[in-house]
Amino acid sequence: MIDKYLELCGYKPEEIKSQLPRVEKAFTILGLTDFDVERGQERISGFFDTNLKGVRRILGVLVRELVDLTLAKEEGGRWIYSSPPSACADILTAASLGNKDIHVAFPDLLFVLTMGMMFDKLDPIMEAAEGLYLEPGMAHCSLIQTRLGLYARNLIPRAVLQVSVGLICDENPKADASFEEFFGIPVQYLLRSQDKDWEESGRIQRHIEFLAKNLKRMVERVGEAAGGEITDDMLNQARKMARDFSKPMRQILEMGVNCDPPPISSAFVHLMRAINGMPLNRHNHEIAVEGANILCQELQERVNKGEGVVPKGSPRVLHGYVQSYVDPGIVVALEKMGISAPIEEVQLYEPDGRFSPDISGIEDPNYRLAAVLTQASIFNSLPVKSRVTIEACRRYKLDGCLWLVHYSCRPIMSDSYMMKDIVQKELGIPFMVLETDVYDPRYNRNRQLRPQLEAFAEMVKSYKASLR
Amino acid sequence: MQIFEKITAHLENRPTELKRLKEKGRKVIGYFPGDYVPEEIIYASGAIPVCLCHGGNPRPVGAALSVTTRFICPFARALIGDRLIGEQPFYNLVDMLVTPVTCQHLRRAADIWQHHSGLPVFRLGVPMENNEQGLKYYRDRLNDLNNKLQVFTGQAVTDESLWKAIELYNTLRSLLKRISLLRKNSAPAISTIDFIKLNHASFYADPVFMVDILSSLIKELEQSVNKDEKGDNLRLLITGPNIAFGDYKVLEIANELGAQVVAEEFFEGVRYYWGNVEQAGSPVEALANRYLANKVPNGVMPAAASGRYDFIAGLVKDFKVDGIIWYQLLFCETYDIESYYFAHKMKQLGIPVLKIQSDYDVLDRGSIKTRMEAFVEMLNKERSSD
Ligand code: SF4
Ligand code: SF4
Repeated sequence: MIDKYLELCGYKPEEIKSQLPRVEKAFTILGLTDFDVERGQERISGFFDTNLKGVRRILGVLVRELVDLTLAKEEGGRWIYSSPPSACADILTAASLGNKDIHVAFPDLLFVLTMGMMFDKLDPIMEAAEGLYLEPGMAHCSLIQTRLGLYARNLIPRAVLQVSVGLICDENPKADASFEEFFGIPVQYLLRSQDKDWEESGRIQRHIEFLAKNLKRMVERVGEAAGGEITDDMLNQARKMARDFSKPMRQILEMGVNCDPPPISSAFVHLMRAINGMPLNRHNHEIAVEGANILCQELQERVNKGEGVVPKGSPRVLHGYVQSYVDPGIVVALEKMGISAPIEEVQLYEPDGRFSPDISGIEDPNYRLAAVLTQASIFNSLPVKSRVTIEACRRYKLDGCLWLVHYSCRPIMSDSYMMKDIVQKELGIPFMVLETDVYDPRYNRNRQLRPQLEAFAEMVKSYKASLR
Repeated sequence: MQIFEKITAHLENRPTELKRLKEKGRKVIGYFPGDYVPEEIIYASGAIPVCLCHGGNPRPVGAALSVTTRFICPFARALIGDRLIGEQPFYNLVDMLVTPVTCQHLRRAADIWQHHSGLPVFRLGVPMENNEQGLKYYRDRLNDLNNKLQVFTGQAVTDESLWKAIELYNTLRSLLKRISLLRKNSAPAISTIDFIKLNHASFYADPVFMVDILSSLIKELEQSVNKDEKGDNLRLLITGPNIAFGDYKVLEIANELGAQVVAEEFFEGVRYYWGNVEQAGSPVEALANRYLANKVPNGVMPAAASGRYDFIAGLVKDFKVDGIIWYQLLFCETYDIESYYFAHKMKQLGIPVLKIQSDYDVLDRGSIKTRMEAFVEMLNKERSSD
């Protein structure tokens, strides 16, 4: 059973042969039974186009990362962790380049994408977190619950350093602080102040300055934890590795935006973006790059033939703020209704919904990253976010906005109704806010959301028809 | 006590007084609580600072749901709802809002105020780490606030006017501290519910009036303290993220159960009176030191738990506390996380902690009372077995 699963995940025959024992061992530790593996097969074939070799190869990267992390307690090594948003992924990768004993991961997101999305078996991990101290009823973020659950169930080694990114919410760093208190895991924070006034936009120097200095401290601290300085060369190499994957990914993303019909479901593009944001172990990174390049070619062929996931001329919507990590079925269902969602709000920048921020004239890499982060729509004030959304809808000729909000993410969910208000007033397009949990399969409300999705699809179709 | 009647009358007349002052050109600057917005700067600019800290009433909390989702804490929802329904006279008088950017709930409440009322809002960034870089950032933002207020009010702020304001508020805080310390006595001269009401009043009242009235009160209280009188009630401390003006349910229940709450520690709602602004150096620098660096960190800050624990452990010792009530507002995620560490550490000190959750729901009074009753009973048993 497992070998079939690995085949579906793009493992080559010789890889299956050599790696099956490790995978079996890891799956046993994780409590994955034949039934789970079979269900996993059905799930990923339902969510993604596994006829594409590139898709399969990239899915395999997640399995490999899961196995590596699950066996880490036996196989040794020192681990440095972080979590989305992925502001520090390159720093982590750089640390792993300088020392073979150092491994890096975003354990929570990895488990959400594998145990959650692939196998629908995240419940015991969530319940373990709730049994410890992130109780249900308080709307704690399920990504953070996953992290605590992993420690509570003793599934992953304790990190030598947790890189805590508090750029969006308060809960992420606060939870990491609690892991330090309870489990003795040292933390280094990347924080910022979200005090942009509504008249302010663009490159705000005080924010860039503050963040860049924090990033510099982060590089030093991660280096200390890894047992050696992180040099500029190491950082550059890490950035190059990230670009090796992001370049074909970007081409795929652009095909989705520019081609009619888009050649691949945006659910998979979203998954690629999630993988792009995580630090990968070196060997797995190479496989991810290989998969992305293969997929790029496969999709170009589809584009040439005019094949795609929706009929040509179908309506297109902006997906805000982000797709569900645990249930890509929401977007797949929308596509089956004849609507594509090729762009996510989280990938847009001010002032006009572009895909790249303005970093012209900034040489220092920490300042460049700080400038990137401060101009991303998701990190911005309501007027900037709504302007980005409005301009993106105009620029990419979108026919509506589907706002899927992670209900326990205070910064994200709490402004959705104002966003709706502002965007609808200006553009008059359909805008639907749907509350869900993008990490916790127990609240996977795909089926419950279906009537609303159908209603939204109808609104979008009639809006588009009214333009003709 | 006549003094409380005077305060009540002053607060009742205050909105009319503010209206009159507004007509004469004075500006009312509302700000959200949490002890990061120095009133001194507002006062020195000729404007009138008003801390918006009403809560406990489910009506505005429900009204806020028309513009945001339910997973915002009830206090932030009350701030939103009170402005939307317009029944809170102080809130209607605000000309400009200053919000400390401490948690996402307050941040969003300010956005909703601005979106739905068009009021100008200044967002005062509060760095979540207390270090040199954070202090510089905060100091720079205080300077920005100072500049913004000068433009808004049309009145220049001088070092002299700032020092004067600092002196006034230092006096106010010192008086509150003296009154607070009277609760160390085994038969406290003032109850905590009254002390918190005084403290709350100081956010809305004219500070000069407040200094006068507290000065008279302290004389009365100090005379009435009988150091030999032995009180044998249980002594509780109440802590948590926020206790708002009007949110007195838990304190009232404690009174009903014959338990004395003798000390409090809250991030929001209670004016922080433990430390004053040092009158040295530049006034803005002195304010930054007092409001960010030299005080107990708030619980939203990631690495705050041990500093906060040490402070409260000190209060437990000084005020001879038998047990602690952690008053948790629903969906306040950071304090909820901290509450576990806190209870765990207090257990090591042998101090039991009861966590009470509230969504400002009138229907939960019964269940809160039952839980507090059981807690008080347990503490009483422990005391009698000692
Ligand atoms: S609360 Fe929001 S920003 Fe924070 S970790 Fe969860 S999803 Fe991310
Ligand atoms: S009670 Fe908590 S969530 Fe609410 S405003 Fe205060 S700190 Fe924020």
